[in-house]
Amino acid sequence: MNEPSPDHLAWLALQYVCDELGDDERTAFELRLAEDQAAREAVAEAVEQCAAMRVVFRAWVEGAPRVIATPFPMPHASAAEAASRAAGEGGKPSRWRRAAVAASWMTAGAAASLLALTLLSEPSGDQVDTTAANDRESAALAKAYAASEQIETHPAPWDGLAWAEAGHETNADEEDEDDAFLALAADQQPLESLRVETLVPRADDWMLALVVSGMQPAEGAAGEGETNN
Amino acid sequence: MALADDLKLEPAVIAALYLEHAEELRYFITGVLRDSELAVDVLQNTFSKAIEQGHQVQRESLKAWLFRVAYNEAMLIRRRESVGERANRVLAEQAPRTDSPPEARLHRVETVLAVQAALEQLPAEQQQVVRMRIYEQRKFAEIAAALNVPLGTVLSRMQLAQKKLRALLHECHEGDDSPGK
Repeated sequence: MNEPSPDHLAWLALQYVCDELGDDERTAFELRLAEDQAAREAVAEAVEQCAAMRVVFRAWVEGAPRVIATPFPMPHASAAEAASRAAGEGGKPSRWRRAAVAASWMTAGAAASLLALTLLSEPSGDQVDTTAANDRESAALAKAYAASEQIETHPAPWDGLAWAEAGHETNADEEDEDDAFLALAADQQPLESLRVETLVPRADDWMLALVVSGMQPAEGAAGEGETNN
Repeated sequence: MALADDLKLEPAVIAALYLEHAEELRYFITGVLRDSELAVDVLQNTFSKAIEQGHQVQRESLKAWLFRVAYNEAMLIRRRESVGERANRVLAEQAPRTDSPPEARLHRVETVLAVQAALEQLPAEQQQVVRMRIYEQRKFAEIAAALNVPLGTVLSRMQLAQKKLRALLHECHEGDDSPGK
């Protein structure tokens, strides 16, 4: 009997999955599926590859976010938490927080300078009524200050990693934070796997639980269960 | 009866079987049924049978046995569907789906990345046929008409593309761990 090549079997399976086989061919192939494990696995492979190709083409054609293998990892939430602990519990403010505080102080300083300049250059009260102008400036300054207070002091952990990996210099006194980044990196997951994670049919926990809980392990039969019939 | 219970596969064995084969089984069942939701039901039935009857099968044959059970279950459902539920199914398919498309849950990210890399390496005319068939879901005959080439040319391009894709994907998978494959 002529055994078809794996490529031919894969081609048959693809045609079957794509519903491109004629009635007779399809019937014959399904009869084969009842007996031939290689044919079944070829069908499984064709289904997975077609699904993956649709995802890729959808990204290309429809401009959906493209799946990119990037060296830049995204950490687990647990790693982010660990990093947060490592950076926060030591009592040392994080790099972002220090940057934000510095920015706040700079903005506040600029605002104070501007206010002082405005007061110094203000004409005397008997010359011009400046109440309205002062109100506007005060409001603007207040707004600028308020904006400075709203600086994001806790960026997402992966932003922090981006910062670190972008080659920003690290001072000696920042080693604790670097430990935090390393903690993130140590427990990371590739970015792409997280992006598409919700789409991936991993072994379903619920089914696994069902399978396991559906069986009552026979007491004392652990050794006897090794029956190879 | 107690003896029969003792002979059943251990839960750890069932769990290991599930972890190792469930995904591939689901792809296979989906290929037979063209329905990823029904495939989940069939997968569940398959492992229920494994719990009940798996002990009667030699360990080294369990994978093939699971596939055969899955196939029989799938065909059973298909026959049942063809008798009673075809009308309902047509109606259901006409209704807009609110969930994600079935194929969205039918791939592993490694496969998507490997497929993407492989597709990028295909010649333009092969990539075009693959896109029209797989993404646009057009029949080979329609593609031939649209491209104004013989049907055989389209089939040949698709077959060549698939061959290259498989070769590249196997290279990728061999580069990975995949001891279970």
